[in-house]
Amino acid sequence: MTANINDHTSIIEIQGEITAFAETSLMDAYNKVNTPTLKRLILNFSRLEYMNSSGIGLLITLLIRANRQGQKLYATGLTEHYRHIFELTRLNEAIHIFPDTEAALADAALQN
Amino acid sequence: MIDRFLTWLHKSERNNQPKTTSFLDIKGKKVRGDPSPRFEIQPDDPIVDYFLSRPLTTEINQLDLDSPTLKALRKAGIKVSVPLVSQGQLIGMLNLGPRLSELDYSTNDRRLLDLLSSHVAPTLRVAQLVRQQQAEVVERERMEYELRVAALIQQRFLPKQMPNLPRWKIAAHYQPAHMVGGDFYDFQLLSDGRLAIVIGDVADHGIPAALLMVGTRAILRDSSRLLDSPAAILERANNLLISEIPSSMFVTCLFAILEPQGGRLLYANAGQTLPILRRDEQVDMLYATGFPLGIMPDVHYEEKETIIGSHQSVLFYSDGLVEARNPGKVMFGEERIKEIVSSHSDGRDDLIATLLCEMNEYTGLGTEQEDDVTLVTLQHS
Repeated sequence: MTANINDHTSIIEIQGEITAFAETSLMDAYNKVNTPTLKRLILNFSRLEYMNSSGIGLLITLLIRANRQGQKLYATGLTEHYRHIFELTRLNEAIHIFPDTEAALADAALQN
Repeated sequence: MIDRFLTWLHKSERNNQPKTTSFLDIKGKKVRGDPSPRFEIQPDDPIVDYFLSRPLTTEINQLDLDSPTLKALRKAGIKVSVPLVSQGQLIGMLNLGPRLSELDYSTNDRRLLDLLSSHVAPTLRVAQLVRQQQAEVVERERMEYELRVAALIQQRFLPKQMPNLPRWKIAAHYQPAHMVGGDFYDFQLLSDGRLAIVIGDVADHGIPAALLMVGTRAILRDSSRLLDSPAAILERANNLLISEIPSSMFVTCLFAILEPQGGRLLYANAGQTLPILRRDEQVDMLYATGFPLGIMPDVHYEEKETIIGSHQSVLFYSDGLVEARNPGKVMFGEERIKEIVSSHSDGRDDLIATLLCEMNEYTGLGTEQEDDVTLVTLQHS
């Protein structure tokens, strides 16, 4: 599920499992919110059930696509386990992590 | 004729295109151009709804619809279309050109065609499903063959025996989730007597993962002949892999070098799970972080070192162990692994066997393994 908060900020709600099988849905969701004015994309993981290394690969692909277009990626609602994985892989240096969507939106508002 | 019909319909279905393919195969006068033109009907073409609501032989010239298919039928000289509807789906159309006699199709002709379509449509649907099933079997066999080839490639490059070092007991276990997994491990005795240890995970499965694993292993082996430090080895491997790896793939990898004499262990980490060092009943995570290989060029890796003293041991493991889930979808978790390692006595059972036993008990019998599990242990006696 996706939502456009304003011209610059959108949210993708991640639900269920992120494995190689999620490629089409994730990229479709990105294509849906990816407008020329988009600057910040929030990925809300609060309803994520499972993500394996192929899933991390999809996030990296998304990160590369977003970075190429000068967009920032935010992650919210990550469990401790996945925050730890972001830390090990240093994805936390490329994806801004916030505890919840409200905190990410507050940060995004400051950037506007 | 039916055979050709099936072929077209089958092709359309196999390509997963939500289109209805129709064809013309008249026994009478040939229409202009291709004697058997094919029409691809988009699902949103109004002619689909029209035929679903009125599945009867229809004079093309009497139809008034804004339909691309209708235009194409007229252009091809079709006079009459017989929709083939089965289980609420338009699965095809039988299209006829003008009669040889040049007379219009009679009411009896149309009745005959309707009767024909009512028999042909369900039969055709069954045949179509049988064809589809046969194609799926062939595709499955092809994939299984590819997986067998990939498994052979991968097994060829996993260590066949454990390194034999005085006062060290080294063990490993590799358990792929599917026939070919993305995990790998390697040992390499260096010319100065040190031992290089690698545990990694290619973020994919099947032949691409097996080939990338083989390539990564070769690059790491080559790099460890040229360089002394695990961080420098990972940096070189990363830069070499960058140009070879598709953007959606990467390799997580922990590279360590053990000095067997004093137990000094140097290590650097490219996004792999953290090894656990067991000292008496205490456990320490060997903490080091870094980008996985193949994502970004010119990445620097931090290098750490520790000493594995006498009666101490280190466990390297892949995320398949941490993320193994019970029927309630709760992960095995790092804390549980630490507890098992800390309470495990070296003199007792093998740590690998204990971990596997605990994991299997946790996930439950008959549960499908979701990810590869790789375990490597170094025990200093």
